[in-house]
Amino acid sequence: MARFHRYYCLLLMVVSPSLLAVPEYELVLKDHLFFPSQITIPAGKKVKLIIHNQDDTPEEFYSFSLNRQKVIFANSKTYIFVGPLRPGEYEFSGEYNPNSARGTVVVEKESRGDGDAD
Amino acid sequence: MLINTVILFLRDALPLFVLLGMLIGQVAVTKRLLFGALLLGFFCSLVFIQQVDVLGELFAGTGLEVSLWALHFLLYSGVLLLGFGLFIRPASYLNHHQSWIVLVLLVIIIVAKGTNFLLYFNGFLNQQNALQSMLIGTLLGLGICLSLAILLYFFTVWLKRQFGPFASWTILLIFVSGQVTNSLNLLVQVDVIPEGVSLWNSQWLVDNESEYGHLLNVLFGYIATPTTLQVSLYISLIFLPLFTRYFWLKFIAHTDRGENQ
Repeated sequence: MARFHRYYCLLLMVVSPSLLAVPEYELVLKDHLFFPSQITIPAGKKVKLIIHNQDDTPEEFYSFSLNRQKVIFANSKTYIFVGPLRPGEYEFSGEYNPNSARGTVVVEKESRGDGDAD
Repeated sequence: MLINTVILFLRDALPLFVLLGMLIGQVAVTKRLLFGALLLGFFCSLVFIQQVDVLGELFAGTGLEVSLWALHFLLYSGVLLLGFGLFIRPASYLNHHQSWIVLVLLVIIIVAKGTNFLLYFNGFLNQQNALQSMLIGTLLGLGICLSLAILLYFFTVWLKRQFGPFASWTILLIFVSGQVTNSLNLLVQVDVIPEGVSLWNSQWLVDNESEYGHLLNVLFGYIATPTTLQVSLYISLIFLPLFTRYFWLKFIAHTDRGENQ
């Protein structure tokens, strides 16, 4: 199993070399609200979105336009990769609380640093 | 909460009910086996959730997505096994134990799709104000899913009677191929495979987010903006087994002719 794991990690690094260089952006979910509710990322680049769920209930990050869907357990964090994307606005929501947990990923041609980029 | 529950049912439970309707129409199964499969599936989902943290840590943090994709692929493999027993080796051990394959298939889809449910219910059942709307939502969702499962059951039975078991099995094959193709997104979102370029955009024809789009997605794996990888995988998953069967039957006919001469 450990051997398979090692080979798999090696394969991951070969298949996705961009994994080591992607910019990271953070989102926090608290009281069924996303903070920040708007996040700006550069166009044409793959980015890693780290989502922290600080609520005591699980939530599912869902975005039809980004084609992403992932469960975030209570008081834990997860990540997804998005992009490369064209400039525009891409909405996302918390599937379990879609009325309150809402946000937008704004994709701009040039990164202006108003997101939470590390 | 009511609407959320219904939507969650339609999104996650519908594939389970579609498979259930198609499988029961294809293979005769006892009620005992059916309830056994549902109970075992529920138990396996609980174990899956218990181990989700461990799974998530595997393979550089991609373990959960890889496991879920693997479950979808296992589902496809199970349908292939069913077909193998039905059309290639009718006298084989597999064909005599079709109902066990059905049990395994049901357990797999319950784990792959039901985990989301358990998380949702587990997270919100403790909230007093949510309980009533969740129960009503569950009843509504169950009603819609069961209706479709019954319709599909009669459709499968009719198809089997009119055109033979191969026709009804092909519909099952198309359904699971769609499920595997859809689950590719799980691997894309954790960067195991790259995000591809869309081959076409048929949103104008059937919007993926519309009721029809959703239904077609569950039944046939319809995606309005599919990538090259998704299209190639979908076609291969459907046509490779069909071609294999065709050439196998040709080979058998040729061999029989050779023996008779």
